[in-house]
Amino acid sequence: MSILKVENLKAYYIATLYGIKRSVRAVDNVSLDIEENEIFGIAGESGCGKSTLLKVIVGLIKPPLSLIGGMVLYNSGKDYISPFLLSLEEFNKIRWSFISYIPQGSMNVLNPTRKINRTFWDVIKTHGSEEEKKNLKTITEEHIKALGLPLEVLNSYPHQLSGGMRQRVTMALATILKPKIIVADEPTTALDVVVQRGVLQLLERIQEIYQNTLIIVTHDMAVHANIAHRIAIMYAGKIVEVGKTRDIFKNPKHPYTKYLINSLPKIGDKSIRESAPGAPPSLLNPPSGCRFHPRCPKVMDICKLEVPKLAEIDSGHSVACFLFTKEVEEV
Amino acid sequence: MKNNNKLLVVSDLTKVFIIGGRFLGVKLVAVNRESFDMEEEKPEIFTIAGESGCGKTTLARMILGIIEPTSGKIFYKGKDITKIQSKEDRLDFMREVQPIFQNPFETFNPLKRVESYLIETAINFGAVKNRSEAFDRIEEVLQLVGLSIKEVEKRYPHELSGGQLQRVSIARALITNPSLLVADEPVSMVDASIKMSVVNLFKDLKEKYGVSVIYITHDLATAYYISDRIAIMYRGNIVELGPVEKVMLNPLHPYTKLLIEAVPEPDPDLKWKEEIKLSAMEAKEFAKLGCKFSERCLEAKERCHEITPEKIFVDDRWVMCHKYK
Amino acid sequence: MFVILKDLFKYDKRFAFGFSVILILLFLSILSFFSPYNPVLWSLVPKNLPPSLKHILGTNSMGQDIFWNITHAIKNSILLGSLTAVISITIGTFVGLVAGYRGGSVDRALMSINDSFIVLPSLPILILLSTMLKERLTIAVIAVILSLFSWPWGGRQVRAIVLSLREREFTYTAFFSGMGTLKTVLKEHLPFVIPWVMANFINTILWAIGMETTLAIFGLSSLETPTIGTTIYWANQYQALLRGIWWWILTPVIIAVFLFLSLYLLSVSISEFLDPRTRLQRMRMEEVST
Ligand SMILES: Nc1ncnc2c1ncn2[C@@H]1O[C@H](COP(=O)(O)OP(=O)(O)OP(=O)(O)O)[C@@H](O)[C@H]1O
Ligand SMILES: Nc1ncnc2c1ncn2[C@@H]1O[C@H](COP(=O)(O)OP(=O)(O)OP(=O)(O)O)[C@@H](O)[C@H]1O
Ligand code: SF4
Ligand code: SF4
Ligand SMILES: [Mg+2]
Ligand SMILES: [Mg+2]
Repeated sequence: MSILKVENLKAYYIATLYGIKRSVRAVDNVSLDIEENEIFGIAGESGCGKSTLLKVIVGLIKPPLSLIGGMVLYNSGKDYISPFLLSLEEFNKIRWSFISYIPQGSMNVLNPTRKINRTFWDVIKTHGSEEEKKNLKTITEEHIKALGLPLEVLNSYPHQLSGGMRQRVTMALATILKPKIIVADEPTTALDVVVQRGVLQLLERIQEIYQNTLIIVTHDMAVHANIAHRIAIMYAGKIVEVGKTRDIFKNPKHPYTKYLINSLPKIGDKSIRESAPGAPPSLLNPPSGCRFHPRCPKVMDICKLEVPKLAEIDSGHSVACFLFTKEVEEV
Repeated sequence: MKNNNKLLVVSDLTKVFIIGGRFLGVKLVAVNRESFDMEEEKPEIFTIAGESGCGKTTLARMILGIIEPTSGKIFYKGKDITKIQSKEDRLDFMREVQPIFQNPFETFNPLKRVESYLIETAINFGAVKNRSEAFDRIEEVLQLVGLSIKEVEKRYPHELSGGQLQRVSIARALITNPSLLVADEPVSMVDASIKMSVVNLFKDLKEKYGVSVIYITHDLATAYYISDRIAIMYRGNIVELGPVEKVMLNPLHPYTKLLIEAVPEPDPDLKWKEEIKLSAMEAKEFAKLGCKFSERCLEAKERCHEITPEKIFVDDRWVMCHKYK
Repeated sequence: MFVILKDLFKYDKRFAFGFSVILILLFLSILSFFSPYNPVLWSLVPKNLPPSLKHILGTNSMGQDIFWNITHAIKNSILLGSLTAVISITIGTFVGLVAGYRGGSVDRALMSINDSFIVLPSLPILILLSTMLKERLTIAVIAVILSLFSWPWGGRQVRAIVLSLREREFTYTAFFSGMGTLKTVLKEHLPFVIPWVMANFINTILWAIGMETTLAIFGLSSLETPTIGTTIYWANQYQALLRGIWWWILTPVIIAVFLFLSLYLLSVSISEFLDPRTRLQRMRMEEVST
């Protein structure tokens, strides 16, 4: 059963500066279906719109970002709700307890003047149920214990903790009210491999304990290989391929995905790796047709004119490329 | 130490930072009496790897002469570069040793055209006599990195992609025909699709033009891919140093083992299995007596907490661990 | 330069307003050279006449034409402000650049001088100085005195900017491109400092005119020289408002308000326009739109 549906979502950054109006088409016609109890990875190069997509999914749309079209729906068990249609009050109610968002670079969000346990209590007090508010101390301690973090972190100030521990504390904080969906943006970027591994371990553990859905964004394919069940590949504001992790790694279809997978170096293997020629396009005026066409070795005439539609070519494996589908995206 | 036929000799190099004021500050030994050397005849890519804050950048900056060592010596082709005073000697040194920086968007002033740095470099080091010769030389080095002057001319940094900028940065460094490039995390800020093209370029430079590279990174997969030797640093010390195949495929130091083990494989068939242990508060470790890794080491014995291990040569590489004594 | 001004004028209303007002005021101050009356002489025209065709802003109790008198006042005030700004910005920028780039003991020495000026209470000392110098005060002397108190702020700011620039990677690139200290500071760092210098230039003018006006209202300026401040001083001395000669006091007050407002708007919009961050953003926008 899908717990989150994204339908034809379009979100642009619109800015006017000295008379020139421009829109950055950061999320352009994206559709996704995310299942309950899965780890869903979103991969793609820097600036392709990953963070923007997450922001829209959790309903954080503030200027210059604006919603152009499409819908995001959460399955609350009883019915579908959309973050776009909720009042601020209703929205605050489901944040943290139904969907929880860990933004990019979030380890610096902990309040430096408050001890960690205070920060946890604050969240429970503002977002928790009556029952949870009564037991806030025990809930916090049990949560930290369940996640395998040392209890003494609760009694520390953020600056006393290492970067990796701070990052893990933020994750513990985001999951304190046992949300059904956890959305994490680059949770391991800028961390060392050892610490990164610790953080990912924790995410997997959280998912295992609470059986919730985890949406994780990173450009590091090796991270996806290790924890994601399914992966979506994003290129220049669009999803170009979605499939099971194994299919994406062992049987990539889209020419861009192929480059992405085949250029990854491995320890113990010194054979030559080639990467895609050229550079990612600007989203201010993306290329016509298939946005990968200026860099694609298999480009055909139709690619420059029409936009290929994301279409299922195998069970659970969809690609947006005219090598595999004839379907054209409506503009 | 004999300096003949050595490109670079780093000997007993130490850098101590005082954090928080002259009198009340605490000492932080960012690089602790480290030594290594590189051959002049045999160009190589020498990787320095290790987690954030272990002293990689500090080491690189001392080699480049940007910061002064607290003690110890650095010889470049037999000359002690920590003693350079005159402007001429400094220029002579920079002609030979050039840096590549981490963030390609920061390497060039955002308000200036990138070619201005290429022209400055060509003229200031006397590589060319006039501007038109400078452009010939610039075209030459740009071709080396797979660009042409047309793509770069009259452009501001924001008009080029990260990969292009990193190539221009390398091209600039090559203008003076240096023998050594010091690249501090040159690919950590660029995209996957650009990363391999930059890394491949280093490989080419070494193989075709005999340029040695000190490659600083915490990306161990690319380190394995391009380097000949690797030094693993932990809290200011090189704990293991040797040929990359030896150190990475058969690590001896417990920290190296942990590091290699933690690298995620880009392959869903090779997922991690066991869990690992992390330190909660790392600031203390710099000041630790004995082996700095002993708090986290699963193989630590009593002496590890008291006596600093010596470096021992085992199986083709140097290891700093009591286990192998 | 011209294109920039045109762009700013077109797209930034604050700039358009400020710039137009300043132009008008500059025009008025130029008119002073064609003034039929000597501003320091009294009883040239009948006293206390309300605005009329002959004397469009009326006359005052000293027998001066207010319109022609205010053109001199505007000229002198702007002159005083600009002079102060030139002196103090030159010193401040130079000290800041050197202290920031050289660092170490040079920095410490320069900054301790700098800080001693900052901690001096400016208003009391100004009052003291002008009381002492009363007879010898001229526009130039006042400008020098005011500069003494305004350069250190600029010095500190420039130093802070250069200090942060010194640690940026491109400074190292310049170093390894063989560029010397002076070249690096002038070519790499000055472009970042200039926008601030320009905004601060206008701010200093604003501050200096304000300071002189304050001093003048208390009678502590060069009272023979017409400035906006001294005009208000004389109008007060003759109790212009109480006696219903409103045109005498209102003219300098309105001029002062417009002058301050327009200088303020100019400084805000210019510093925003020249801020390297928005400048970059704009460069990117222009690139795609052409
Ligand atoms: N506030 C903004 N105003 C205008 N454009 C923006 C803004 N924020 C982001 N963008 C642009 O939108 C595009 C998508 O940005 P986004 O942050 O979603 O990318 P990302 O895939 O998360 O990249 P990264 O891997 O670097 O985090 C980029 O081209 C970026 O330049
Ligand atoms: N100028 C300085 N003053 C005080 N401490 C410093 C200074 N520069 C570096 N340090 C400290 O020295 C230690 C080593 O820093 P260094 O930058 O060499 O690490 P690194 O290995 O390059 O790390 P990273 O991977 O994060 O770049 C760190 O703990 C750092 O905080
Ligand atoms: S649609 Fe055409 S250009 Fe795009 S990836 Fe497929 S083959 Fe290449
Ligand atoms: S010296 Fe001891 S503590 Fe240090 S790495 Fe070796 S075994 Fe571990
Ligand atoms: Mg992002
Ligand atoms: Mg570093």
